[in-house]
Amino acid sequence: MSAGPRPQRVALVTGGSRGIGRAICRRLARSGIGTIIVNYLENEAAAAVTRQEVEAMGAVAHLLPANLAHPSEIDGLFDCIAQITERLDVFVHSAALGAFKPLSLLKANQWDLSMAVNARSFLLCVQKCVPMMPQGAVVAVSSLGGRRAVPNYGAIGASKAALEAMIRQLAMELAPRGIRLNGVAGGLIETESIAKFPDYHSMVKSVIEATPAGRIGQPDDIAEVVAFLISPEARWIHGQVLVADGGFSLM
Amino acid sequence: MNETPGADEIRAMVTRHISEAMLVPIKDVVPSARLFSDLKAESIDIVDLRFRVEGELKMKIDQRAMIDSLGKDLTADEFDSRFTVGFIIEYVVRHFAADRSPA
Repeated sequence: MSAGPRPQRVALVTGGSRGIGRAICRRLARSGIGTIIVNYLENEAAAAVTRQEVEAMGAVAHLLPANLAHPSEIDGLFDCIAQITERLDVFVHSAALGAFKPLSLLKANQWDLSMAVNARSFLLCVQKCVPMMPQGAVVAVSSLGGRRAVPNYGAIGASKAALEAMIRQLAMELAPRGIRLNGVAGGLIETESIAKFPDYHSMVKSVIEATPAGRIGQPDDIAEVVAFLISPEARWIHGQVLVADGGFSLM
Repeated sequence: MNETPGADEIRAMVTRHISEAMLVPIKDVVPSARLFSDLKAESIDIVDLRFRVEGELKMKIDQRAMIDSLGKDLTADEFDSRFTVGFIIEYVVRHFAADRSPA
């Protein structure tokens, strides 16, 4: 009996309208994933650009806005996903938000917001994904700030550390179900969001000087790592956070 | 909130959320208070406030449109003086009503 054609793979990417998330959507489409579900907060024009780029690669894009700070909106997001597909093969968590300021001056609500969007939403999304993933791959976008001290990055850094701890824990819990979880931690990546950093230009200059590869990272640099981590070639990699920073953290 | 709130309920709710998002006593959240100069808000606090109000009222607030409605080509001082508690409260009241009015 013929097994019939293999169904097209389906991926969900949070924070997919801009920057690293958009590059990941584009790269996943190029790798042959047939349907990309693009979650975004509110920028419809940016999300439309992602859709255009995904569709130019021959994949189908579904744009689903949801504020991942709210568990109820995560529930709503997955209700919408259930209307599109019964199965997810790939989940990439790229959504991030936070306060750029010294951790010693951080207010409680600013801590809560960073943790809710960057860390808690990952957990809630994974919990929703598991029943839809007979097997699959999950990748979270972390950053060097999850393991190193970075000026004005304390809130996001702490949330990325939580994210990385969850990657390890969930990888252990879900490997027996055929679900692999990993992460990618970039250094400074050139995106619109990062331009909001205080002293952006001087920071870029100093990062380039301290990066052996001699340039600042691009969203596509991270997207390539994500594509690798979800590929069969990464089948034996579980619960790891791969650093992709042009060698910045070596020095 | 299970029933559709009235304007005064929305005013009270937004006032409470401003107090919580800015971490200031509710007695300081008066209509004339400037978010940045008086309540020492930071940009992330405005995002937090918006998320709180959106979550409770189940509405979407276009932050850029809200800022733009203050006026065009404002100086920093003009923006600061117009971006008040009263402005935010009435913006939410107005847009909550508009969201729920029949097309």
